[in-house]
Amino acid sequence: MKKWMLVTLLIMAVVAVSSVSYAWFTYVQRKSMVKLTANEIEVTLFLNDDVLTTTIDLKGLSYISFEEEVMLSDTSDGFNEAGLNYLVKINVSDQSPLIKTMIEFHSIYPELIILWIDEGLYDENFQEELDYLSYLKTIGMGSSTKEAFLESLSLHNEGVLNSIKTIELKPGSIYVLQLVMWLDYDSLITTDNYLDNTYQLELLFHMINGKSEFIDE
Amino acid sequence: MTIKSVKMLLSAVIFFLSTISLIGITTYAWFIITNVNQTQLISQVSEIEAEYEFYRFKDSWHNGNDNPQLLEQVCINEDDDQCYEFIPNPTEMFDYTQAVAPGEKFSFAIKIVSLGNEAYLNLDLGRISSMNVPVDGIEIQTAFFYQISKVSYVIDEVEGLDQKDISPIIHYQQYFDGDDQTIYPLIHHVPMNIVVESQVMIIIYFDFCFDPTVTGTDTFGIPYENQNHLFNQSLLIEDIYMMINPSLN
Repeated sequence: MKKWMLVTLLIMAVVAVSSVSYAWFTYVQRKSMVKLTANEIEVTLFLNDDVLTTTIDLKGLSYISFEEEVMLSDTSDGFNEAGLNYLVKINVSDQSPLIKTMIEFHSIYPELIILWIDEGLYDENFQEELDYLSYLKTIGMGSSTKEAFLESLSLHNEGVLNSIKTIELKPGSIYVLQLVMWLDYDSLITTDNYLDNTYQLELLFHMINGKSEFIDE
Repeated sequence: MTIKSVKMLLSAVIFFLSTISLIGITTYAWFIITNVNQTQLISQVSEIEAEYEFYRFKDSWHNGNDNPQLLEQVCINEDDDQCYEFIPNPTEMFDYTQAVAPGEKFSFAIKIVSLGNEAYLNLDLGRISSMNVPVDGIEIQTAFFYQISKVSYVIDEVEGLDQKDISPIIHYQQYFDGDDQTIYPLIHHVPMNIVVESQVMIIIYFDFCFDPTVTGTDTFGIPYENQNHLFNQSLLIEDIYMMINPSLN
């Protein structure tokens, strides 16, 4: 009995000493550093409150006379309200890395007056631009002809879309652009059944991570 | 009951209690000693003492810090950005909740207070690994490299100029390979007492960079066009080791 206990105790002592020695020699002073995770770009696009998908019907375009209601008028007189406006929201998910966005937008219709407004980041104090007449007059300041005014407007729109592709958007942020459209009656090629005209516009969004640059094609 | 029986019984009780005590002490010692993350990184080698503070650069833009000045850039409020956040006694890896992407940089700093001994400091990185790597996939760690951005001494509460290229300091910039067991030298031979004062503060700034040009190759040896195959992987940088030697040898 005594011999058995001695053997057991001896074994236990050896195990204990070995364990402590092992733990001691494997003890390293160190600290934990960092974990970095790469996720996919996750962005949801909204047109007003609707998720922007493949095709959306835009209804409510109004005819105006650009020369009379913009160039020769100092008051809105319904011009602002006649604009068909949409807030394009670029909503970056919390799980997404930083991103950049490029927007391609082309119109082949001379009577379609398009205004892009860079509304910036969305926050609780967000208020979109609604005084389009003043905004347009600032853009066309110094333009003596309709062609020059429309050229200034075209350059402004190009500038807005070009500046967007250089802006880094953080995860969780919402960036807003406003798209406003009118139809210029004076620019119609034919006025036959003009109220039944339909227009197809293509709006393309490209996204890359925030530290990359878009390659101009 | 004879005297012999009583002796045997007493012996059995003593042996039994000894065994229980041994097991208890061993178990307790094991858990205390192996719980490495409960310790602070205070290195005591050859009676040389130093204490450290660890900081990460809060930077929601992931550009890193190209002009590090720790003493002037410590975060004050929780919501502050573009500042160094003190991480007290870190017990777990800092988990960036924001996803990372190629081209981004993450900056850190270690402030080490030397307690007046003549010695040289080495910092190394270890246990670098990648999580969620697909079968036959490229590990995200191979697209990351580290670099020392600045080494400075603080004397009379004034941070001096960058000393990283001054001998005998050797600093390293290299990519992480695919081996979890590799120890990566970060900076070696940093003198801990450049002045006579009893306490010297050294600040070592370093970055982790996600290189967008490292795409890797697929199993057929064909280079990937981008780094999309690294999505959902995590880079784990688990350990930083601090060693202090009394000499350069």
